[in-house]
Amino acid sequence: MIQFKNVTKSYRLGQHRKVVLDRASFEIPTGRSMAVIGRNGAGKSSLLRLIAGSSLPDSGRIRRNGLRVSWPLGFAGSFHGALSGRENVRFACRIYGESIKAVSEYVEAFAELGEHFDMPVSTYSSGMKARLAFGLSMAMEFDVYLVDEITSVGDKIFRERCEEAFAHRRRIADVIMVSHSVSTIKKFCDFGCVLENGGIEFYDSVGDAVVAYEGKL
Amino acid sequence: MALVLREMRTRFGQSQIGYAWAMSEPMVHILALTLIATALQRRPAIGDSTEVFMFCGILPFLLVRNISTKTAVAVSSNGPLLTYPLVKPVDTFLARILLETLTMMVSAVLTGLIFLAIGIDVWPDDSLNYLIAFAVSVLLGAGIGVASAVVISVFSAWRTVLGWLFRVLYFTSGVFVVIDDLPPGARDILALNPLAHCVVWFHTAQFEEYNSLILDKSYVILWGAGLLTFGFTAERALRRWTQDK
Repeated sequence: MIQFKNVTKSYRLGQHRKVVLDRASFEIPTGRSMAVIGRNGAGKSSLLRLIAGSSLPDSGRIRRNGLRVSWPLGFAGSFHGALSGRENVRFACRIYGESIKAVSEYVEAFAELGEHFDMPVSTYSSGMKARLAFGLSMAMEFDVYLVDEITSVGDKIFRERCEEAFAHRRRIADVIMVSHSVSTIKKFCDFGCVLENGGIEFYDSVGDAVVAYEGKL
Repeated sequence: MALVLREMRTRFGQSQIGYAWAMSEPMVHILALTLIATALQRRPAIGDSTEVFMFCGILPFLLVRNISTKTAVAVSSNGPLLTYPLVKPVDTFLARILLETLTMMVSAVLTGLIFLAIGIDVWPDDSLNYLIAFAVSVLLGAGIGVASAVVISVFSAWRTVLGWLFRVLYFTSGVFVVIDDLPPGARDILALNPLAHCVVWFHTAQFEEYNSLILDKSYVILWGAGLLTFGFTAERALRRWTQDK
């Protein structure tokens, strides 16, 4: 389980400060997958970054209790534009201590980038980047996958392949997912939370969370 | 370590020319400065080879400049890689310091070997002292680089200032004049510049007969260590505010 203790997080938005969490304490259980729902700018992506550890809270503590948590898979991407897809994969393998050969082969087959795999990532379309990111994270074994909108990109065939790979992974791992697509989160997640005005509320089913969220609109 | 390898892929551009330039940079500077000095019919200020004198000056200058300017922009040029929670800004600093140090070491050795091959004796009189001067220059470069990286995260204009600063320092660090030979007024002002001490330190290690009045070893070490401490401390303090830009 991932524990948030008295966590405050805000970010700058022009002249204002936007509060994502205001002294929030909660636990995210393992064994179930969670959907994060909230308005644009409510801080859904920031929450994922906090869970991943790529961003630090202003105050408070976050404990991951030894869980292997992925980086947030999102549009912004974790790839260096000047390096090729293959080199980016190699870099990720080195920092996560994975086998370069096994992961590269998996990603090459999964992402179907063809010759683009050896071209700089800056030449990729956002769909190609998403395929690379998704393939890379699926090749590595995490306990918790953090997914930021990424499943809704790509063509139908690719989406189906993602779902298949995901379904396989989900038997042993959890997903924490941000998505505006209700059908996507209903498919992947068991429960949900709504992020609003610095507070977070949990709901036992994704349906309840969606209803609660829509009621607030 | 992964970052060092990843940096190597982009440090030199996508082509062989990048490596060639990184390796020959000291040589190009030395040749240009030697040509100018010869055209002006200047005798080397110390020793009897203009090339060796220039080598001693250009080596610490390029070392400090390259480490500083590359480390200062380490975070922005690694941008998206910081999405991986395992990659911290400090790691990108260390990777760049290490890579620039290694690059300059290799290119300095190559330059030295070329000089030896064509019969110019570049072997320093006091080689241990020479290595210490090298290490202290790395310290100073790392200090300026890390401190600048933090300043840039708050005032991005510092990046441009730093570039100009090194253009000025090229002329004021005693790379091609001996600061000891200047009038006392000018000498004392130029001696405030820690990089000048690195250059003089190299000169004293290279030429046994040269004793500098201005060289203050603890002064330059203090600058390097002080800036490095400031940089790392400020990075820690500002981490929460700067990372989410």
